[in-house]
Amino acid sequence: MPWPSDYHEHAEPTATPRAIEAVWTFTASADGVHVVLPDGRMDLIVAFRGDDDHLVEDLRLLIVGPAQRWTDVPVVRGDRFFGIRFRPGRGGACLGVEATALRDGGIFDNDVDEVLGAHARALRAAANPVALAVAIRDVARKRAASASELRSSVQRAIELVHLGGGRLGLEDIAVAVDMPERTLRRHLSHSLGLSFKAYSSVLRFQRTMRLLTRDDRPLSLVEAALEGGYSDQAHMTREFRRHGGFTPGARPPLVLIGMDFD
Amino acid sequence: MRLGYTLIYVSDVAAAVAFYESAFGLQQRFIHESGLYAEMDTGETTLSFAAETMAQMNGLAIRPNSPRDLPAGIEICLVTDSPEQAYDHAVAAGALAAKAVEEKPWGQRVGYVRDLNGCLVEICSPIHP
Repeated sequence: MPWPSDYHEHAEPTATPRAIEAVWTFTASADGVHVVLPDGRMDLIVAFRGDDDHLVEDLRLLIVGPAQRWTDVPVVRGDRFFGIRFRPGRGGACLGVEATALRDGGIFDNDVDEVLGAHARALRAAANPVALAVAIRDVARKRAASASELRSSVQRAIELVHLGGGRLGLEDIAVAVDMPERTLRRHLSHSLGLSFKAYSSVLRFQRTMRLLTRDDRPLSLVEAALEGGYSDQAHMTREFRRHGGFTPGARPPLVLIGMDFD
Repeated sequence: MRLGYTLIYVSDVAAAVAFYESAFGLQQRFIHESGLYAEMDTGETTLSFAAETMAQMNGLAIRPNSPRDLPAGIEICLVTDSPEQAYDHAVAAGALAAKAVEEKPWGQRVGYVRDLNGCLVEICSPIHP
């Protein structure tokens, strides 16, 4: 996988609330545009400038909603980002926003202050980037710890969507978790912020991209289309264009955020 | 090439082991400290359980088993001299009855249950040539 070296994920201790999937940082080493590929997750992000032992400058607060399309993010050398990625279906509850309202979008700055209240003030009060890194983890943990849990059947349904690589039908999942299809569709859409169909499609895209970029021996385009769950190679190409803005034969663009590790 | 393992992906490895011990009288041979993988003591061909998340870690997409869904088109076949008792014991221990033991034209006695995850398990008498 062509990870940009500017992007790092940090292993979290096991005491971290389950709702938090990853803590990441990004520092732009050059001017440019970074492509953020969709992963259906939600992130709390602080963007700023300043070295570790200096003041935090140009601080911006962002809550990024679940995406099904890529985003181009222009960056200038030295731009820094700290992010918390929430597990699928948990971002809305943890951050106190409607996930569906943030679909392929997000809220920024003053709107984030309104949503996070005292927690936003804690982020703004950080004297330097080191303190900011501590503060954003702390805020995320507190919010995750006090957020309402997903119903276990909905939690299991989201797991099944992932285990099937986005290839299982809603009907099968509804049977497995013993919930009427319509009810499950509503619960999934509400918690994930994307429709079941859109979310499954994002997962197929993510998984197939990995099948095509495995370091040692990637699958061929034909093999990857079949294993990824596409009806044919043309279908895979259309879906890659739609979600990522590139074709399966090309190397995926570098990403800023939005890739999950497995 | 030889058949080494039959591996079932399950949501709860420890629960699967406990079920196969109580319902079918098999013994656990090994469980990894992570709790994500276990082997039963089944002789030359090992029956293993692995957490569904391991399939994901290996880059695989799977259709997880569910007792509420149609079973996958594959079964585990356990052989015993007293299939009727084994079948009753399994059902009493929580296996789902699928087909009671009956004698086949070739003399073998065969019954079917489904395990805690909905996987088909055949319980049959050995075939004596």
